Amino acid sequence: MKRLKTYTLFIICVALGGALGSVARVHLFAILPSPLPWVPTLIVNVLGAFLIGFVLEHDGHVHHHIITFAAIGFCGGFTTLSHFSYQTVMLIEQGLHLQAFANIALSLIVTLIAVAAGVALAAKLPHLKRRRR
Amino acid sequence: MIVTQTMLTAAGGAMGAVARAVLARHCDSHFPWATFLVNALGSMLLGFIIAHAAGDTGGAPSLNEELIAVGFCGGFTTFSAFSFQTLRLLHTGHSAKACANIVLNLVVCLGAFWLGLIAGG
Repeated sequence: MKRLKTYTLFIICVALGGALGSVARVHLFAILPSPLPWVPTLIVNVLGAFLIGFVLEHDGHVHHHIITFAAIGFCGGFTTLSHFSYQTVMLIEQGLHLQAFANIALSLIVTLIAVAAGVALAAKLPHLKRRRR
Repeated sequence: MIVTQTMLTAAGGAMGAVARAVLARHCDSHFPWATFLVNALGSMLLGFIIAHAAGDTGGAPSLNEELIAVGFCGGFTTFSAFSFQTLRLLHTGHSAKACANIVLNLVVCLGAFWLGLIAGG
């Protein structure tokens, strides 16, 4: 019974986070400046990568349902690899190979830096430092 | 109209996120296979929907169904987990696995999207 309750709460946290993240992404797409069509997706993925690094560094320090909601639900729903694939394939089909390569390279490198930055920022927070001692 | 769009996106995003989380929970491995699997499947599905919508000649799904499907693909696939897992592989000294993960998610998923386009067109 307890396992069923935990599993149900897990699903609810993921669903809520995923819904919020997806809505936030779509609304952000509408207001972000887009000099090139693939830039908003890149920005969203970088922001989400920063957030997942920040959130997962809190693992064990806040309730696991909050981690599930924020990392698996919100960050997962907010960031998107399917739209990245869509835009990259479109760039290749249009013969814009340099932009396609730039999209792949930037998406990879900047999101990795963003995760590391999120982890580093969380590690600097006084409440996480204190509990580690 | 904006309210309807928001509701449909939220519904699609919630379903996509739950499908991803359930899959990842049952796929425990040292290599992030679950993330690659959802990203490849989601890319293929988005390609299929886009090709299907472009060739819309009656009998095709309505705009609302498309919005749910696009919401689903966005919520199902994830870039943040991919980035986090790649960085963790690099940090723990698994450079070859990290490279394989990058190629799978950033190159193979492009192929998956393209396959979806062909299947839907």
